[in-house]
Amino acid sequence: MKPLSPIKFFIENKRRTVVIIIILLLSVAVVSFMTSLVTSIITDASNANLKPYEYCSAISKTSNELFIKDSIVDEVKSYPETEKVISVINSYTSFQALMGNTSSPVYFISNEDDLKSVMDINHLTLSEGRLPNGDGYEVILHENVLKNKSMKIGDNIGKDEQEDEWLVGKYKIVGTLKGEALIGFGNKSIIADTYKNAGLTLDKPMALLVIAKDGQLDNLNEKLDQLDKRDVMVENYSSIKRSFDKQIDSMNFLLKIIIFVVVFILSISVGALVFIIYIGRSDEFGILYAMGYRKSFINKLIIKELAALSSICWVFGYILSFGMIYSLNLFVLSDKGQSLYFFTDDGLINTLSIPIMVLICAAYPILRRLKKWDPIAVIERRD
Amino acid sequence: MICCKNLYLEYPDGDKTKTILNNINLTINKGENVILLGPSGSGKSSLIYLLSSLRKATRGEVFFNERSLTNENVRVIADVRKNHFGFIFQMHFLLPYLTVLENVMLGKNDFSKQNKIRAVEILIGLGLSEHISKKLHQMSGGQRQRVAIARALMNDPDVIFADEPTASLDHQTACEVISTLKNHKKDSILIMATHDTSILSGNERIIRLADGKTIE
Repeated sequence: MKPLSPIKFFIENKRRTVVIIIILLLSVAVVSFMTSLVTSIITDASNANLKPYEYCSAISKTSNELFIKDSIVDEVKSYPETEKVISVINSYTSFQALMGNTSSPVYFISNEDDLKSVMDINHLTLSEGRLPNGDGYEVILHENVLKNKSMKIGDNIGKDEQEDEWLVGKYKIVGTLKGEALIGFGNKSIIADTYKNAGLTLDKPMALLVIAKDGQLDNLNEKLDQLDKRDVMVENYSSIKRSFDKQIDSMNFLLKIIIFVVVFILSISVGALVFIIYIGRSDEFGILYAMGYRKSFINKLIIKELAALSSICWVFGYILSFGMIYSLNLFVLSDKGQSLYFFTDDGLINTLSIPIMVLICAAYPILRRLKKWDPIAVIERRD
Repeated sequence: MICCKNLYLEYPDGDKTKTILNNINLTINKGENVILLGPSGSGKSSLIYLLSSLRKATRGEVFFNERSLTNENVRVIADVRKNHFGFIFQMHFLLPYLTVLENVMLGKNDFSKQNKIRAVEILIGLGLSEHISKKLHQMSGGQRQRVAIARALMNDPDVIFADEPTASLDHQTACEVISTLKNHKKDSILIMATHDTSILSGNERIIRLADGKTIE
């Protein structure tokens, strides 16, 4: 290594620089971890709340009505954007997400072909078991939801079995689904029979899944949003995203504030520590200047050293956060069907702000002092 | 050749002006070994700083090879120092985190293999062959000063400015070092400030300083 290599000083002065290295390294790791956590919470919540509505929309009766009016069903069917309208009973199952308790929809559909088409349009595949049939109270759920609930095929699920479950009744799990959207399915026939036994009919829909023609979902959603809210409740991508974004915005804002405070305090503190170290190197810069090294060379050397230090700490801090996230995923979250994301764009931007700010806060006061500084005074010992 | 004309160095001292060097006129030719003698505060070190352009004179001019350095910009002066001058100060000013060899190589900002060989040769010549890879804390004061001397010789200087270079050396080593400095290159100039007249061999040009004036 060359004597004036940017990392030479730090390698040969480990004791003096170890505190700075540890602070920088941990800060990058913490900011990266926090960003990963928030990004994962958002993605997790997005998968649970938004994904089910990315390819189709749902309409439910309001509490004022027993069924969805025929006129509304006819209107929705008549939209040129509508590909298919499927009568469903919609319910929800709860599970523990990173941000807390959340839910994913469970659609009860009578016709197996309809069920398969909803699975297809949501890119869901049966990973294990079979589809629910109309002979019993059966459901298939997403494998991550089941993992999260520590359940498996053959187990029973429902409010009758678990108090905190949102799915009313008791259903046997007969299969697992794989894919991005956390959707579950049951067979509507058995529920219709139950209504029939009680002297009620389910000949009119209580909820509808509306599948749009290719590329027409946004137009369809616009029309669904115009439906009278006193008659139906519309759950589509745009309406869910609006309320989702409101929650996420506040979380993102909080994250930005925290990161700003961390980066600000850190940059000032590290800048002060680095300043002390560099002032202690006055002799070194003085003799280099006397020997004919230009001030611009010395300034560049200082910037290169600080850039090298903060970049190396950034890389190792990022690797440390990778280790933290990997361990957390491996030992804690994977058993719950959850995981933290590793490298995100936000993580990159947020953590990069640390070396950049540290470089500015550390280099600026040193270079400012060197500008006014008389290096020969050091040699003369008058400084 | 290095020379100065009507050189003054003055500092403000309250309402008055303190004169450190008072109208110095010198011409030092190639191959000359000049010894600046004088009591503390007589201006020996200040004259070295002015002649080497480390400091700017209040008035007067300094010439190196008939080229005035007085009005040159800092970059040109830095290049002259880097390519033509060698410095040895009372304190060694070595970089403590570098090895002996690395410190010597700093004397020329070229870390090629060829210069490494040159640095090793200089160190051998100064009796430091066994200390090349050592750090400074493993060496005595005298050895450190010899490393500083090796560094000053690294760029094969035309002029060596030495401010009390033998202060931390024993007599025999001091004499050897002075001999090395004098003979390092034909036609080179040595300008050395010292108190120690015992290291002089008699073939030097002595310039005495008193109250900022020269008495040859």
